[in-house]
Amino acid sequence: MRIVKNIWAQLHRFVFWALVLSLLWSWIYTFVGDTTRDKKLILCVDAYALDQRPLALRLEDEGLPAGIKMIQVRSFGYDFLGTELEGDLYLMKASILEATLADTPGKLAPLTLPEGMAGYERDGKSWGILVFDPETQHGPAMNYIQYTPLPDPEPEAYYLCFDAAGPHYAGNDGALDDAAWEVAITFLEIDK
Amino acid sequence: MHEFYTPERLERLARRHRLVKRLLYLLAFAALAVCVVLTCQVNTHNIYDMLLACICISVGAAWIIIYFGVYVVRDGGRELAHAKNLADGPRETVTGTVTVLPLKVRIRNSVTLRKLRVETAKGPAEYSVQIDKVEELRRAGERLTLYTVHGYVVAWQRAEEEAGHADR
Repeated sequence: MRIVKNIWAQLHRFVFWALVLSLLWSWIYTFVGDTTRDKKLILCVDAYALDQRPLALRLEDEGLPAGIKMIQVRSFGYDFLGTELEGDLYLMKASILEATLADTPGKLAPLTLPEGMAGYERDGKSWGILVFDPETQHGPAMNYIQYTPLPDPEPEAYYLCFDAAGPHYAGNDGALDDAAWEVAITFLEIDK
Repeated sequence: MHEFYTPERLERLARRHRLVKRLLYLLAFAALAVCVVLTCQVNTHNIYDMLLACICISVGAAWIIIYFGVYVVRDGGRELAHAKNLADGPRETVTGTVTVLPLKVRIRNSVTLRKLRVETAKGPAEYSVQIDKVEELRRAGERLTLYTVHGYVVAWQRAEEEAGHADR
């Protein structure tokens, strides 16, 4: 009984320190769980639903490219593309890709696709790899990404695009490596 | 005569005070060390488990440190300081019927006291006693001889015991 009374008398201290320590550790772990941009590859996904962490873990399990310590998967919308959004890869709908090329030229890098790989063509250049085909309604990582709302009368195609300023695509000026391409290929193979 | 602050008791209190203080420092460093080790082993898979473990360990250690820090280290230290202040003061003796008043007096950075009213032959008088000692005084009865320093009770004796000693 005395212990309970003592604890009750010090409850404010217990609560205060629990809050302070929780915030402190959460703050510390935001740094511990991150790394510098040159060791991190960022995949931005604009889909109806996305399991960010499980998809990042799955991609890491498939093998990290040399020099890369972590893969981050982020959710984004079209509005973010005009901002300082720093991705290496963007998974987006065909309509968003068209709008991006029209509104923010220079945001996405032109690609050289291997023979037989379907992509988004415009002005004689490829700008994205076809990921989700609306005709077959099939794409990679469907356990992690919801490509279409249910039911959707007119599902859209999805393309995987590369940031023109990203440090991990060999086609960009000053690129450190070609990790974005390696991760893109890994992504295309997930559960396919 | 029953002394509240005998040298043996104060020595025991000081020893406990030192020991608990060291144990709490040890606990704080151990908790910090475990958290640092866990944090060094973080990867993408276990980051949330490690974060939860660090929060639980540090909050658990903090609660133990707060509890014992307040009720053993702080209160023990205050009692030691209080006893030290009274050790060399001039003692007075008062005999009468003792009533413990409900009034609790909290001295900043010192012990908590309870007021006593003593009905003596010359009239009523008020004294203070450390709150932990009140139970002992209550059990002793009402007619008591109190030994006080600067108005604080440091020892007591049943009035009849004192009379018996005097007769002999």
